[in-house]
Order: sequence, then structure tokens, then C-alpha cells
Amino acid sequence: MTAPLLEIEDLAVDATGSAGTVRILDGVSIGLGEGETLGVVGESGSGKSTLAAAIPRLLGPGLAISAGRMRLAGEDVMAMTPARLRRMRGAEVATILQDPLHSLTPWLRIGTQVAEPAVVHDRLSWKAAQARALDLLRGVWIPEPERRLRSYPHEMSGGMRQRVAGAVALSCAPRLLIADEPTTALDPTIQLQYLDLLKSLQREHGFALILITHDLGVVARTCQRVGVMYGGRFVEIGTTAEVMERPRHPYTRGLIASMPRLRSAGSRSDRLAIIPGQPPVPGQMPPGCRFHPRCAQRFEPCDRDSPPAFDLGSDRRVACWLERAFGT
Amino acid sequence: MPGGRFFLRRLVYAAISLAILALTVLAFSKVGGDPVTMMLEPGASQADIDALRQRLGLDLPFWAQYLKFMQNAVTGDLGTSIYYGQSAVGLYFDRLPASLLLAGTAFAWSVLLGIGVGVTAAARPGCVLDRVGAVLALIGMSMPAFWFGMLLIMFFSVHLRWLPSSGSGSWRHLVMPAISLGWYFAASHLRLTRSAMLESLQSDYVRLARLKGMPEWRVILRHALPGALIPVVTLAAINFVLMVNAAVVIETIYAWPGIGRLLYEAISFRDIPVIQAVVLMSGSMIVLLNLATDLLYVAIDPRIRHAE
Amino acid sequence: MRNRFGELDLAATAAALLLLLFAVLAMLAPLVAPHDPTASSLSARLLPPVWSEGGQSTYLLGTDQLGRDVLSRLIYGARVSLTVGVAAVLMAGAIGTALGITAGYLGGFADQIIMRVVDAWMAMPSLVFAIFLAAMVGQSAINVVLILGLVYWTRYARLVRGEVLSLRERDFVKLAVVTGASSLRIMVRHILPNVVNTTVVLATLMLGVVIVTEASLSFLGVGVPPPNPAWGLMLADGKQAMMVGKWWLTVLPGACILLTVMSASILGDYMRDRFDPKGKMR
Repeated sequence: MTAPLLEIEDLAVDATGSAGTVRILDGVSIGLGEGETLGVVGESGSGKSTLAAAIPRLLGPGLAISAGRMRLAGEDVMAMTPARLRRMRGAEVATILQDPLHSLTPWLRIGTQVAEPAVVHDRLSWKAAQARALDLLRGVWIPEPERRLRSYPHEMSGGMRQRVAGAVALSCAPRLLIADEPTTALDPTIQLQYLDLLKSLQREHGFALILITHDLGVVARTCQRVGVMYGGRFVEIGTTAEVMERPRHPYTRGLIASMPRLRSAGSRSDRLAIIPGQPPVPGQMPPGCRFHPRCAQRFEPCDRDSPPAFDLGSDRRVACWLERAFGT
Repeated sequence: MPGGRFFLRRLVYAAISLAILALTVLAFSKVGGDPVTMMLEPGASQADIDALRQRLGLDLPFWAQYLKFMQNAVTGDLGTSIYYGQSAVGLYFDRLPASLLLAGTAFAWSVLLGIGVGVTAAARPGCVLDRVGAVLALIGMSMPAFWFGMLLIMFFSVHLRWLPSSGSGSWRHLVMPAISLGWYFAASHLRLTRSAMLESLQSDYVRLARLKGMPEWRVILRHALPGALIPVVTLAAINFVLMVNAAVVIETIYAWPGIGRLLYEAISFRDIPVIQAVVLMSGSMIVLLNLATDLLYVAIDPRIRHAE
Repeated sequence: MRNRFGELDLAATAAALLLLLFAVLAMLAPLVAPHDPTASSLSARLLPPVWSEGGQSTYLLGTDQLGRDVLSRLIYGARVSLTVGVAAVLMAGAIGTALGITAGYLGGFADQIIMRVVDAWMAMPSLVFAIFLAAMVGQSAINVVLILGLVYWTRYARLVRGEVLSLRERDFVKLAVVTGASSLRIMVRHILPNVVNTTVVLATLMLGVVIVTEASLSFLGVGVPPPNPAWGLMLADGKQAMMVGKWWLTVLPGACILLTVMSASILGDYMRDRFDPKGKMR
């Protein structure tokens, strides 16, 4: 087995504001090998987008990594200089953001935006970088790529722009691609097409992929492994097949039960209706297990102590007291 | 073309604005009383007064006077100066070069400084330059320009004797008026640039540029700044028109022979056609400038066209 | 005064206190001013402030070229500036709010007429427009208020109209329409109370602008007429003495204008942050 590409141990992110400090992300650990795909699933506010921002160390104002270790191909990410970080962001870890309408700069041509990472990181001339940009646009299935190089973002549809964002991300052949809800803003028909594109790009370029989503269906289509986040922590992580077929954490079970395809034909209820209650708000986390107020199977330790991640072997971990109760 | 309707509507609005401007100026001129009594010797006979009234068209009903006024205005005739006996528009254009020189200088430094400090301050909010800039902007916006002008005279002319206190003719005459005129506008450019940049820097595209590992100068200058400049350039263009036409106090203090000084002289002599000319010229310039910016935006950014 | 985070806002508090001080001095001017602001004394011309060489303790801030007491003139000047400023802001606010509500609520033809006038009038540089009106109506303090009201109402109208357009879609207004209330009643009873906040914030922001314009008009000789002790007038009167080094006639009135305008501006920014967090007024 090769050395993992990304190792994160006990990562914590704090938000500091006028009201004090609030922990947004707590005790997050992941290992990801070269070329692997990890899906990260959770409701909004679960901390999944913060995780996406924490890996390239580009958190928003007021947010900071407060604890934990992060290694990229063995190199300590926390110890990187600003210049090394910039290089890491463009050339090794690339990101696709959720909203394609706003993530491209309106006044720069598509060609410039796709080419500039190659100019900055690979020191290509603008001419050579434009040639590479043309290949990249072709690679993300953009029709008439020569003409599109000279287009501006507003001249393209949302799906097209998100493919451009993919081309931007791949321009320096990154080893890790973080896609933060890449299909949420797209039309349902285009969503599937985009996921197919990501998979095919991954086969072709061999990057590892972290796919952040609120949609388990997306994960089931795309990822070998999946981590479920709740209240700023991973509650369950394992291979997609294992987690989908034999979910162990009550929250995961609730999520799977609320997936549209598994719902009985007559039911029109909203998916959250299946898990009663509301997800916790950072700063007002319940004591003990963060899920216990909504959990039907809670018992004696749940409202008192936070459950550790029980290792079930074969890279399967579940943070739930039920695991101890039943033994492993 | 979807922009056609938009284009036409803006054009009509601009024309209406110009017509209302002319109406306003003519109507308020009537409040001041009969200009004829001021133009003639005190002992003039009633026959002379009537003759002059007829010659100036003042015997006509108001709407007829208005039509006549508009008709003349379109051909570039805004009446004859009572004091100078020359065409009011001619006087305006005689003074324009001096005003352009002063306004151009003040504009140049206020834009460079305002945008420069505004961008730097927004890039690092809370840094020393940001704090100093905020205080200077507050003072700049609050300080009456003419008082600042007088303080400069006191220091550089009376105390140090470095610069001439008034007049024109050399670059040394230009320094103090340009500084005192530009001060307020530098502050306004700074404030707007800073807030527009802060907004732009929070956008997703700037985030993506940073995620692409772009160097910070490139993030700021290429990705964030152009969007922030749109409102700044609009404001700067309007400010330039104001500097040309509304530098009345500064030009009065420094005896600078521009349009502001012309207006000051005109109020001293109650030279109503000249006052009317300055008001109309400056108002029309802003109307046309607004029209031009609207149309330019449509040309630059088709999103506006779709939004309409 | 507290900011969004509940901390004491030092700048806003200081600004409010300073404005309050000026207001109290202005109100009590006859009691606190040591001299008659218009009484000249040929034997005491151009005396410097008391701390300078040649200063006299009877004239704490010196005298002007007619031997009038500068301190007393500054105190009475506060009266002129603040009265004219506040009156003009109220005047502009009243016209602008009334027309803004009319335009926004009635829409259609009334809206078109009012907004086209707003567009045209806002195109004129405010100082140039004010000078033009001043030259027409002649000098008096009341005329200055009228002029400033006419020059600045457009800004209120534009802002209030925008506000009303969104209020018109709100349930309580629709309910009033359904129950058969007259347009006038809806505008006065339902719309007006909801735009007052906006108007007050804008009025605070405008106070400084209006005071500077008044000072400029007075400086140019078309504002408050002499021998009233307006700050702008004092600056104009002091210009010749300034050329021979009599700095106090220039520095002191100007500093009063600066402090007043700056306080109004800080207070206005504070109110905007408190009552208009979305920044419609920026």
C-alpha cells in the first residue's frame, strides 16, 4: 500500500467573532490515497464546506485552524510558508466551488482564467498556456473550445461554466481535487452529466477526489468511500457499499431512509421529516453525542459523553455509543 | 436588439431632464424680479422699459418665453451677459480652459491617491494605512474646501512665502487650488474604492482566484479591482464635472479665472444670463454624463440589458 | 451609544456630545457670550487670543477687524449654523418625504413627473444651484433655509420612493387597501411611520453637507447677511486680516465648521449602521 496522499488527524476549526469563539469543526480525521474518491455528506451547517476550505488552508474571515495535523504526500501542510501554500493551492490541491455563476471572474476571458494557473505555477508563456487551456476545455466536453477561449463567463450557461471551473481546476494536473457541492446549482439533467464528467476526468488524470455534497445519491454514484458529517464531526466513515448497505450510525440510517429512491411511492414527505428535529447550530451544540436530541436509539451515556470513533476494521469507523454497547 | 428599448428610454429621459432643467432655471429667474429695471439707468422712461421688454421677449406669456428660451438654448444661445455685454455661453467657454486645467490637476491627484489608498486599505483592513486613510477621509469629507484653501494660503504664502496666494499663470499658482479642490474628492474616491473593493474581495471569483494559487497582486488587480472600479469611475466622472463647474469658493479665494470665478462675479453683478448659463451647462453635463454611463454599461455588460 | 456588538462607540458618543455642547451654547448664547457679537470697538481691533502676545483677558479668543469679540461671534455663529442647518434639513426632509411617498405609492403619472424633476434637479451641482437660487431671492436667513430645502429635497425623495415601493407590497398596506382606506390615509397612517427612520438617518447625514453649503453661501456673500455672526461670513471677513498673519480669524470659525460637520457625519454613519444595516444609503 502506498503512502496516503492526504492525512488529516484531529483537525479543529474555530470561528472567532464578537460573541466569542465557537468550534465549527472538531476532531476530524481522514486518510485519502492517491486516486481515491471520498464523499463527504452532511446537512448544511454540518461543517463539510469548512472542511473543504480548511484543506487548502483558505478559510473565510474569522475562521482558523486551531488544532490538528494535516499532511499532503507526507509534507506538513500546517508548516507551509505562504508561497508554498499558493503553489499547493494551484498546482496540487484544486477546488471547484458550488456556484458556477459567481465563481468565475466576470471581466476576464475564459481563456485567461483557464490559462493563468499554468502561467503562474508551471511558468508557461501565455501562448503555451492558452494552448493548454484549449486542450482542457476540450477535455471537459465544451463545444467550440476555440471560440469559448475568447468568451466571457456571462455568455455561457451554468453547466458550461461549471465545466470551465473543472478545466481551471485541472490546469496544473493536481493530485487532489476538492469539489464543494459542484452540482447543487445545476439543473437535475446536467447534474448527472457533470458527475459522469468528473468520474471520467478522474480515470484520465488520476487525481484523488473529495466530493462534498448533501446528497447521498451523488455519493453512491461517484465515490468509493463516504464520510457522514454531523455537527462538525464525522459520525460514520467507510466504503460506500458498506455504509449504504449496512449503515450503523442512527443518523446515517436516517439519511439513507430519506433518500428519494428508497421512499415508498405514496410518500411525499420532505426528507428531514424522517429525522425529527433540527441540526444543531455551532455554538449551541448539545452535550455528549451531538445527535442525541434527535436520536431514537439514545440511551444512558449519549447525553453525557461524546462517543469516540469506534474502529470496526477495514477502514470503517463509527462514532456512536451503540457500537460499544453491542461490542465489536 | 434587446438593448434598443433601454437605449431609447434613456435618451427620452435625458431629453426630459434637459427640458426640466431649462424650465427650472427660467421659472426661478422670474422670482428675482424684473431684470429690465437692472439693465437700464434709474431714470429710464416707461417707453424705454417697454421697448427693452419687448426686445427681450419679456412681454410674452411664460410658456412662449420658455419655448423661445429652449429654442435659443438648442442653438447654443443662453442670452447676453448684462455686465460684459457678451454672449453668456461665450463667456463660459472663455473660462473653460482655466477650469479644465485646475479640475484636471485636482482630478488626477485625487483619483490616483483615492484609488491607490482605497485599494491598499481594502486589501488589508485595519492596517496602518487603512486607519490613517479613514481619518483623513473623514476630515476630507467634513472640511469646507474654502477653509482648507485659506489654511494653505496662511501656511505656504503668508508664513513660508513659498507660493503665490492667488492668481494664475504658472504651475506655482496651480498647486494650492489643486490641492484644496481635490481634497474632498480624494476622500470620496477613497471611501468608495475601499468599500467597493471590500465587497469585490468577498466574492466567489476572488475566492476561486486564491484557490488557484494566484499571487495576491494578481488577485487584487486582475480579479477584484475591475469590478470595484465600475462605481468608482462613475463617481469620478461626475466629480470631474463638479470640479469644473462647482469650484466657486476655491476659484474665488485664489482668484483663479475659471467658471467658478465667473459665477462668483455674476452673482456680484446680478448678471442673471451668466448665472443661468453656468447652471444649465453644469446640469446638462451631468445629464449627458449619466446618459453616457448608462449606455456604456449596456455596451460593456450585457447582464444589465437582460436585467431591464 | 453602542455599536452592533454592544460595545461603547467612542467616536459616535463624542460626536453626539460635541453637537449637544454646540446646541446648548447656541441656545444659551445671550447668557454665555461675554460680549454683544455685533458691538464693535475701534480701540480693540484685531486683538489676538488671550494666550498670544498682546491678547487681553476680556477677549478670550481675540477680536476681529471691527473690534468685535470672536468668542461671542462664534457662539452666536453656532446659533445661525445649527438653526439654519437643522431647519433646512427638516424642510428638505419634509418636501422630499412627502413627494417620495406620493411618487412611490401612487406610481404612474405622478411618479413620472416627480422622478423626472428629481433627476433634473439632482443633475445641478448643489452649490451652483444654491448660488443661483440665492442670487434670485436675495439675502436673508429664512431664504437660505428655503434655498437649501429646495436644493436637497431630491435626495430624500429618491430614497423614500425606493423604500415605499417595497412597503407597498407588504401585507399591512394591502390589508389597508382591502379595507377601503383612502390613498391619503394609507400614505399618512401606514407608509409615513415606516419611512421616518430612513428619513431621520439621511437627515443626520445631510446636516453636515447642509452646514457646509450654508457656510459657502455666506462666505460668497449670498447667504446669511451681515452683520449676523455666521461662521462662513466670519471667514470671508477675516480673509484680509489673514494675509497679514491674523490667523485666529480664519482658524477658529473654520475649526467650528469642521467640528460640527465631522460630528454630524460620524453620528450619521453611526445611525446608518444601526438603522440601515443593509446599506441602502451608501
